[in-house]
Amino acid sequence: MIHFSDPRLLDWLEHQTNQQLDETPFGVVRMSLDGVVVAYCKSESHITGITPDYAVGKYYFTQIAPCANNFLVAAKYAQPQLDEELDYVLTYVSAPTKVRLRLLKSPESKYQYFLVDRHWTK
Amino acid sequence: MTPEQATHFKAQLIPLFAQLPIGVADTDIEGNIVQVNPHALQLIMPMAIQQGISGMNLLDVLDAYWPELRALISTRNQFSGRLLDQQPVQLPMIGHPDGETRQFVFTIEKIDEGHLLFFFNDLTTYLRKLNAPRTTQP
Repeated sequence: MIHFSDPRLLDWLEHQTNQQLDETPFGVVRMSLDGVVVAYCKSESHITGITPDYAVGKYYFTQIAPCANNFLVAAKYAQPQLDEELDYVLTYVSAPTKVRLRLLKSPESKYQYFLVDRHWTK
Repeated sequence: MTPEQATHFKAQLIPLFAQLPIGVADTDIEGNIVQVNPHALQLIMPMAIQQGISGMNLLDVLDAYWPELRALISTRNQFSGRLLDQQPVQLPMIGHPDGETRQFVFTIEKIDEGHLLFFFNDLTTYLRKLNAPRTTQP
């Protein structure tokens, strides 16, 4: 199984179907290049309580995860190439939760990705 | 109110809490965040990251820029009540594309001996619009 920090992760993700993304050991949000959710994997859904049916078709950073809608995360996707990991805090229902994020896109990729590793500890 | 009704009302309030366009954070008296809404994290996290801290403690995030706040909270002996009411404070956000000095406003309520409730927002854009020269004639 591929791991969160694998340098080939973007290429691997691009070859997975939306259903296959459910099997990844970390949270995966697949978005169109304008930020609309295309796939919202089960591991993310189990924790947030947001169902894939609710998330798909919505703008991720304004409608699903406004806690990451700032210049350090959401605005980074304006770059044509992005591969950045950072420590962050997301809110699940109302509880703050420390996570590791990875932000991924490239000029060749069909989608952009927001990845969440909630098992990460510093 | 029955326990079932309380659970029902709480479930109804959570989506409202999540959609609030102001930051709300419920912390213990040391500033450790117990509950927080998404808008609060949107505002807090750039300041936490630029300091290399986790963002799980609101007073830790604010210490570097507003050092008197922690002392103000600890020296108020009141059991509960409003500690600050719409207090303006300038906070830096290094790298913010729309200006690195941000004008925030904070209201802080002491819920009881062990809990604080913070309400805050970044008013920089609002103030810029308010102070922009009017271009149309009445």
